[in-house]
Amino acid sequence: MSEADLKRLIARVEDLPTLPRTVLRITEMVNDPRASARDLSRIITEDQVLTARLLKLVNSSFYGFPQRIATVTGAIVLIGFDAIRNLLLTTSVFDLFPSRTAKSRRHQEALWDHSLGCAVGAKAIGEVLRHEKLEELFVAGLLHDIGKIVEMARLPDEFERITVRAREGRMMIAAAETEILGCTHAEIGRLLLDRWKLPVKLMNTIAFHHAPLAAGGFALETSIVHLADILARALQLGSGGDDKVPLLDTSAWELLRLKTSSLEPIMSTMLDEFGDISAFLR
Amino acid sequence: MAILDIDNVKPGMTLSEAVRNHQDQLLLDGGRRITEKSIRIFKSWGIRRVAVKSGPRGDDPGDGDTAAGLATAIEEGLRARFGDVLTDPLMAAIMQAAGRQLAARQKKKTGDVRS
Repeated sequence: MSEADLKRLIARVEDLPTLPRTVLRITEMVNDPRASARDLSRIITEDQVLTARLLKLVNSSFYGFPQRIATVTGAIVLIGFDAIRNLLLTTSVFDLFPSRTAKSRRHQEALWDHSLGCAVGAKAIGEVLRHEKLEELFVAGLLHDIGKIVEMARLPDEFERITVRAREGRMMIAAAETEILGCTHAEIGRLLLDRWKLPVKLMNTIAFHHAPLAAGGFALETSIVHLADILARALQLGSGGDDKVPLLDTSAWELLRLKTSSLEPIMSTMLDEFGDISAFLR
Repeated sequence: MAILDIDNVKPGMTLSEAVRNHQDQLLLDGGRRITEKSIRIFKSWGIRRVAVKSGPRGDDPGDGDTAAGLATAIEEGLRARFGDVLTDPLMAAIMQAAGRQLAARQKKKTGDVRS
């Protein structure tokens, strides 16, 4: 699909929501070298919901800190500015697209579970690879299908046709999207993140999670999310809108340099963390 | 006990194991009679198979059959998902590993419910 076609589609999607003001301010602050932990803490604590979510998450098994973290400043000092921005972003994005019907709510909850499965998978793979930015991988996994959320919320009739087409034609949802919309959720996700001015790395990881090597300098992170997506589907964590497990990209697998024997321990970690983190993020 | 595809489940049958959705919320407890409404609810949650008591009076042959039925149901479910890609050795390895993990979790869950 050409950029012009995609923009026309987005025009139909109408006004994509903007990020919450607090998250925008935090994003700006993360990029400001003069900002201190105290400045950041002041902004976060103005929002009680974000404060509660942040403290819940830093006290969950996601970080596994031995001691309880009771203050936002303490959380910032321990996990850093970037991690705070990512986690707050994560916990806010799904709130931006409320479901309008019971059916769409069920679709969205199933997709949320799939996204969370992919997020814990990306983190678990990152741990095996000793990747330095685990929370970045987690966020990329959680947001990898954000384009589907846009479709569900803004193009519900088309999304229904897409899922029916994928089920009846026994095809991947991306193929059904291309038939019906002329573009995929990955492209819609890229556009949304571009509009939100989120980091290029995150945007590319989401845009290319079905073709990781096309992500250029971010091919490693994108390959991690690509594999995590497949493992979450294999473990039946939620639903990505279809029930198919796609073929793992051979070049992505070679890039990851994982052993086949490492896959089952990764899956075990995914199942362990899925339940725990799900309880904290909801 | 028999594991039935949801399309073959009929009102009046009795569940031999609880049915839960993907969030682990209880939809209908083991021992409860299945109604048309419960079948509709199972389908709306994407439940594919349920365990029902096999005899006319609900006689259950025992745990051996339960475990074997469970393993079969998991494998069938995975084969349906992996259908197109199983000729790839790596995908076959992923499917087998997922099957072992899912069976172990299910066994643990069933054990927790019984104990």
